[in-house]
Amino acid sequence: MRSCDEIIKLFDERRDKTLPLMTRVELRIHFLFCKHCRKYYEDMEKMLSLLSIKYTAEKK
Amino acid sequence: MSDDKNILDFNKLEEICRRHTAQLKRFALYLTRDSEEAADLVQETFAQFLKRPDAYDGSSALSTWLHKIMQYQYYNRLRKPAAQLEESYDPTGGFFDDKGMWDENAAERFQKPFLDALEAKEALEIVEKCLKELPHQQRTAFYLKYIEQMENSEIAKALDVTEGNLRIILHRARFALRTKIAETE
Repeated sequence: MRSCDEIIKLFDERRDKTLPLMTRVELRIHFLFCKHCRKYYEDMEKMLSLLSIKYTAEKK
Repeated sequence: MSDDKNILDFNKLEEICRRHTAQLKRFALYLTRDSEEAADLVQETFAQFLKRPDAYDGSSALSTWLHKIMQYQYYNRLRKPAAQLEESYDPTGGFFDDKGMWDENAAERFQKPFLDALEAKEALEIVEKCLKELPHQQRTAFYLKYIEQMENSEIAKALDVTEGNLRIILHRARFALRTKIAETE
C-alpha cells in the first residue's frame, strides 16, 4: 500500500485518467480512511477549476 | 504538426508568428508580469526564431519550441544561466513522518475550508498572488500544465527536464501553492 506522500503525487495521473485499475481502487480505499489526502485532492480540484474557468474564458 | 515542420517556406513564417502570438503573449506576461516587457519578449522570441528557423527539427510541437526560445530569452534578460535559477525547494518538508504518512499536527491546518468563504474573484486573486510567489521553475511548469494545458512531454521539452522530474516539479508546485493559500486565507 502506498503512503500518503505517494498518494498525493498521483494527482495528475488520476486527473488524466492514466492510472491502472488497481491503483484507482487503491486510491478509493485510501480516501475512505485518510481525510487529509481526501481534502488535498478536493482542494486541488477546487483551485484548478477556478483557474480553468478564468483562463478558458480569456482564451476565447 | 505537418504544417509546423514546413517552416522553411518563408511565406509561412509570418503566418506561424501570427498563429502563436496570443499564446506567447500570455506566457510572456506570466513570466515578466509587465505588459511592456512581455511585448518585447514576444518580439525577441520571434526574432530569435526567424534568425534560424531551420533549428526547429519538428520533433516537438512548434509551440513547445517557441516557449523554449522564450524561456531562454527570459533567462538571458535576467543575465543568469538557467541552472542558477533552478531551485530544489521542496515544500513538503515537515508535513510527513518517516513512513510518508501525514503529520497530524501539520496536516490539521489544511482541514479548514479552502477558498470556500470567498467570492470566486477574490479566491482567484489569492491563488494568482500565491502562484507568483512560487520558484520560477515550479511556476512555469504549473502555468504550462494547468493554464495552457500542454502535454507533459511538451512541457518537459520546453523546460529541458525529464518527464519524471517534471512530475516532481508539478507535485511540489501544487503542494507549495496549497500551503501558501492556506497561510494567506
